[in-house]
Amino acid sequence: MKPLIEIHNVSLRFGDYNVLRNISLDIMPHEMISLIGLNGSGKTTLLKLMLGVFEPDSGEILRHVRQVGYVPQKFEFDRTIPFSVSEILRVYNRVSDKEVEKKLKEVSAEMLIKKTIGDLSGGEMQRVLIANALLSRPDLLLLDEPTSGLDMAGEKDFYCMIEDIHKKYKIAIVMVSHDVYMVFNHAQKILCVDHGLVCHGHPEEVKKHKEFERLFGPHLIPFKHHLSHGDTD
Amino acid sequence: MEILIDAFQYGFFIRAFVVGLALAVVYALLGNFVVLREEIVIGHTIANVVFLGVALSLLFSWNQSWVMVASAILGVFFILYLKKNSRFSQNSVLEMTAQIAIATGIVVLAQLTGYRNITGFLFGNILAISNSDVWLTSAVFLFNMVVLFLIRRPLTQLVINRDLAIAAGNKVERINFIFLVLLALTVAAGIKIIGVVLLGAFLVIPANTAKNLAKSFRQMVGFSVGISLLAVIIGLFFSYLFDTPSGAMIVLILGVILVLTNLFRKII
Repeated sequence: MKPLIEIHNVSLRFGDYNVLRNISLDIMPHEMISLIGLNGSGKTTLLKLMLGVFEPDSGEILRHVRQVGYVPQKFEFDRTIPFSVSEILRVYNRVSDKEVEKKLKEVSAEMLIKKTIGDLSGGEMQRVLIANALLSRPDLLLLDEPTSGLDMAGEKDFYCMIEDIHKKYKIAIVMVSHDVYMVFNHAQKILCVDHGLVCHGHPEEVKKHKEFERLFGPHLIPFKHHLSHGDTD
Repeated sequence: MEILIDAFQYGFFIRAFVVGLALAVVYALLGNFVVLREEIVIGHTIANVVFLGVALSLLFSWNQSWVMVASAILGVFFILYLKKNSRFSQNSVLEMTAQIAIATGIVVLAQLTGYRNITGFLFGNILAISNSDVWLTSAVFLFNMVVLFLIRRPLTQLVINRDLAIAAGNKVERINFIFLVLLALTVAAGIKIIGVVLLGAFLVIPANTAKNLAKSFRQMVGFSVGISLLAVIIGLFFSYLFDTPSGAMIVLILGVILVLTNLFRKII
């Protein structure tokens, strides 16, 4: 099977700052991948390299993907502009009102169709952005910390929704996340980033990796606590 | 009423009316995107660069219309160059470019011998609209309408969110450049009737007033065009009646509409 994205020995600098060094990886069809790492480790930058927002300083990225769906971490936009949810979705996708309504229903956001963007909460905005990404009929979905700003219950619901989407559409999903506990319960493959790809693989393999322990050691106490109580949901 | 009908007996007024209506539509449409991009001073910046062009054309006796168009486009290149090759913020780039251009323009004007009245260039003058201005504005109007129609979807995608526009498959740098060229041409075409000082206001007041009233983006675009046309029609007649600079009168009318609609927003 041909990868959707091939990243070969890619490095990227912002001025004098080495954001990513010598990263090589393939994104295969139907994979469900979580990108984890500490703040400032280069997770979002790697995701934006996959998207094409940044081009690498060295190395190459081969994109065989037909359509990428993207959900940004923050939707930075003047909230006083009177864009309705329906308008935003139809600006980015050539679809009918019915299709918009159907897709919003899939992400439990059909009640938002006539609301203006400025009136949405963080969680509602994320659902609208997921609907937007799905309307583009992607074969790869890139999500940048989609659960930041959600409470624990909202976060759990969100991960379940992403799992449903993965099963239903059989698309590849790459999700940047800061929540190690959620990631280990929901991802099929983990990429651990610290300016380079320090470890990767199945959650069980990554969990035992010394680089993972080094990076997340102090943050693993609640995570181990959850596991010791048999909470794997 | 008779005096208003009389106005159409004069060639200069008919020319100003035609140019004004065409510009009202283009400025309002582009103004919506300027407001969305939160680059409120960009029209003012390009206008100041065109002022420098006008000063050079007076000094060297170059063709004014062509120099205005060329200087506006060169101004866009300068803004893009400075943004790409510096650590300045977008607003700093725009404001610094505006101030450097106006300062250079004043220095160039100081080299001219004899009296030169530049009030018309600063605040607009309906008497200054020549037949070649009508042709230039008509060409700019047609070009802008066609190109804006073609890029309306990717441009809207870009101004809402750059990363989402890239995900949608757009060449965002190209779209951004095309938009800035449209803006440059529009600014150059509007200098004589609106004036350097007031041009930025003519670009952003209709869109902002419309934003205050609209319930959707589509409505905002429609309202902005309506407000802009109304201000140009009333402004030109008042400019004719009271013998005042046309740009100042148009912007004054826009100001009145802005205040009134803001006051009555809840009722409307």
